[in-house]
Parts: sequence; C-alpha cells; structure tokens
Amino acid sequence: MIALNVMVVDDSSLAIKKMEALLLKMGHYVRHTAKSGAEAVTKYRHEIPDLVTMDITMPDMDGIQATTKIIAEYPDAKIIMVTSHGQEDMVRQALKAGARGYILKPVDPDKLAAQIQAIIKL
Amino acid sequence: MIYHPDDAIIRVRDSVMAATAAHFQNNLQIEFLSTESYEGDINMMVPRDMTTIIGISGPVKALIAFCFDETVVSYLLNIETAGLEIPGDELNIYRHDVVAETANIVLGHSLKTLAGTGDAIALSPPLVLEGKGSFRRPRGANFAHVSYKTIYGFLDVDFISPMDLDSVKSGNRI
Repeated sequence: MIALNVMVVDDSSLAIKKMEALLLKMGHYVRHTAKSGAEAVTKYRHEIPDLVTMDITMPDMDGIQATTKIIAEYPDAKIIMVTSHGQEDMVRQALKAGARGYILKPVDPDKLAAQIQAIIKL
Repeated sequence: MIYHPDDAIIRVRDSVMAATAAHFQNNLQIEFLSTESYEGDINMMVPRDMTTIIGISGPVKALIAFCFDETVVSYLLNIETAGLEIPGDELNIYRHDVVAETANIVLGHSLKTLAGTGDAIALSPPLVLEGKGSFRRPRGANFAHVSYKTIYGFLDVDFISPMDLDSVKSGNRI
C-alpha cells in the first residue's frame, strides 16, 4: 500500500481528529487540515496533497464549491466527499464538481479504505 | 413541490425520528427508554443545557433544534473521542462539535427520505447555543416536539416551520 499525503477538510475539529486517526491507522499521513472551503482551496495550492477528504456543509465556502475550484486548477486532484448528506442530488452535485468518491458519516473504515484504494488505482 | 406547513412539519418530524433512532441505537449504542411527542404548542418547548439548531430549506423550510442534557453531551463526548488525544484547553470546542455532528448526521440521513420527491433540500451549518437561556416564541409558527429519555438524560428534538436560521442568528432564540 502507498502512504498518501492527505488533507482533511471539515469545519468540525472532532470530525478532523477522527478522520486523521482513521487515515493514520491505514498508514497515510495527514499533514494539513482546513476548516472551510476557502481555506482548503488556498492550502491545496501550496501543498498539493495526494488526496483530499472534503466535508460538504461548511461556512464560508461549501465543499462542492471548493471542489469545483480545486478541480478547475488541478484537474487530477483526488477528492473524496465525506458528509452526512444522504440525498442523491447532493451525490450527483459532488461528482459533477469533480469528486472521485463519496462516503457517508459516520465513516465506516472499510468503506473509506475501499474508496481510497479505488481512487488510487484510477 | 412545496408542502403545506402543517404537513411539512409532520413529514420532517417523522423522517428525523427514524434517523435519530437509527443513529443513537446503531452508531452510539444509546437505547431510548421512552419517547414522547406532541404538536402545536410551542410554549411546551423545554430549554436544555446545549442546543444545536440547523435550518433546512427547499420544499420544506424549518428550523430543527436538538436540545441536550449536559449528561447526554458528556456521554457522547466520551464515546466520540475515545482513543483520540484531546488537549484539555480544547475540550469545549469538542463539546460543541459533538452536538453539532450528532445533529448533522441525523439530519443528513433523514434528507434521503425527505428529498424523495426529487427536490433538493439544503442544510445550514449548525449553530450551537450553550445554556438554557430564555426562549422567544415566534407567533404563527408550526411546532412539533419529540422528547427521548435515555439512561444519560434527555434529548429533545423540536421542529419549527416555516422559519429560517437568520432569525436565530440575529439574536432571537427560538
């Protein structure tokens, strides 16, 4: 397995901490985190992480807008939406924005690992 | 499709009740000892120690408040931060996050059934209020209330429609 440099984006410190713990357990690194979509876009430009986990509902700029902006500048960016939104319309919007995958909270570690594996193989 | 406010509040309540039961019992391992619900009288709303309010908009427009006893918040914080290193001076941030995330997950999952008609429903970021405070009751709002009793204390979920989050952010509590 390849160890990835992952950026975790969520407005909740708790959600960031939990995701960080899961990713570390899988052998990846979390060197950068962001608490809004705008911060994620800025940090992405500087850090170019291998993978981003992105919440949807955030103040300032939501995860779908941030994904659209990142993909516009970096079409190969690998972004997984991690959210509690269960509606199909939201999934469609996220994928249309350029997200490579979508996972529901609370995060199932096996599903997250499978999503990461699938995205890395693409 | 836009729902009549009377129908909307019941539709939202039923969907959120199903998602609340699923999240608390399956993910948080908290059994409900009893559940009570009523509609109509907003003055029966019970202020509790911590409240998270989320606005939903789209075919259904409402404010949904999750009101927690401190003992329930403490239990949630313990299980959600198990195995994580939380600096002591950040504990209050995590208290707020745990109630916000709980409400977010419940509402996010309930949207799947609420949005069954194909119309997208948007959620606002959660607003967390600390302390019981005084509650201003809006006139003419439709109201529904569900109270869950657990061994750790009470969780209430209140539904007020039609209303938006700006009315709370501008200083009016529900």
